Amino acid sequence: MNTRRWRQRLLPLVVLSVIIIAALIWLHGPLVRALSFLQKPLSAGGTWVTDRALAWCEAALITGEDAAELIEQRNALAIERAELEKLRDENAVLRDQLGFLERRQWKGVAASVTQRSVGPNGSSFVIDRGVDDGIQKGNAVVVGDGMLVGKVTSTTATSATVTTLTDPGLATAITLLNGVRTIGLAQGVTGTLIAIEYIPNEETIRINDLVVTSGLEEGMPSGLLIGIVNDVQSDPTAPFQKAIVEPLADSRRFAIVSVLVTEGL
Amino acid sequence: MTGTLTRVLGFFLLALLQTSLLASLPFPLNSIPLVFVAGIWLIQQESSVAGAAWIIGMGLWMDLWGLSFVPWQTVGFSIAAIVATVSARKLFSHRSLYGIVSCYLVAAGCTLLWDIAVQFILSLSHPEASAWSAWVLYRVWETGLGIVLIWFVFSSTKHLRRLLGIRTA
Repeated sequence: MNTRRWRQRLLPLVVLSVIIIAALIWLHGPLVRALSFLQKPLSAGGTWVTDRALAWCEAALITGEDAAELIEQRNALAIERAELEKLRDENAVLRDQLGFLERRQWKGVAASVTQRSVGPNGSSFVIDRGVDDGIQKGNAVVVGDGMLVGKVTSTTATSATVTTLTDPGLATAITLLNGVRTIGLAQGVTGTLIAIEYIPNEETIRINDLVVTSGLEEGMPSGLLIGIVNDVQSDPTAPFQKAIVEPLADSRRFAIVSVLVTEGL
Repeated sequence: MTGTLTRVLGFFLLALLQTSLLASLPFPLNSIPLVFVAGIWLIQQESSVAGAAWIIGMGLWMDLWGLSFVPWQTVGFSIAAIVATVSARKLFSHRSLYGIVSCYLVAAGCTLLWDIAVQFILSLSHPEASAWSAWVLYRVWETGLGIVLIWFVFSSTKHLRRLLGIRTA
């Protein structure tokens, strides 16, 4: 290929590169709004396929109806139990602090998933709501009746990136609903699980204990369901034990989520 | 400029398909490297920088929205785009499937090495945040599906060249 031909081709292609880069950087906001019209149905379509595929895999183990019913029952019971436990705790606190005025209220902002991460675990996704809708970094993202799936980790005016609980880089302040209400930090581990480390050995943890948010971090209300303990790893010679938690909600199966934003009184 | 517009629109369409539709599909379908493969094919067919711009643009896209498992993809994808462009011109033929597959493997190897370097650096400060096993499995599937996609694209080369208005070399 001669130099002249190369020069003839180079100009429009340099223009192409500049257009792509400029569009991605400076036209980010308008671009996000324009693209979300296309992204929402595409993402919803992919999510539907994933939901069907996961349901089909579950059906291979037990019958489909049984699986769906059991999952529904488990989630309903978990929510009910979490609410009961939370009410019991709240009741005790309220008795002690009668007259306490809650300074914050939580409002849910519904958002559609427009993009998902390219990599293992699908550990982050982008939603079509951003700072303009009151969303801030650290806000909780929930599905269903208050099942936490992740936290907002970055925002733009018109979009926000959500990192899921199973991401190894994300830590969430939690409370274990065991006898002594153990508090700690939950962190994602390889695959689709969450680990709670450094739990003192003298604290009793049982399989199927519920894990909820403790509310000890900014932008995160207490009592949001995270998951259930499915394994406890303890070593009699070590001072700490570790709990492996299975999240109750799988973000890959939801195309619409709610972001909990605060409304100051 | 019609060709330039087609390529800009083509990039956005493929990037949307990859990050919205394919990324929402169950594993391993979510690992199909659509834009990367399309970029390699374009580099091979056109001997131009349009394909390279697609690959670099995809790295930038993932970094802007924080969509990548490993950060700083723009750098890794830029290195891959340069290596692919040079190797397409000097080493590999676009007339043979093996030539395009080799070009893809060399470019994918560059991103792999970049990812390993970044993950290693990150693991020094945050060892708990590294998930090597999940990442390796993902990359193996990504490379395999990339080769399958190249085979598919290669067998449709005539139609795609006509669609994009690429003259026969």
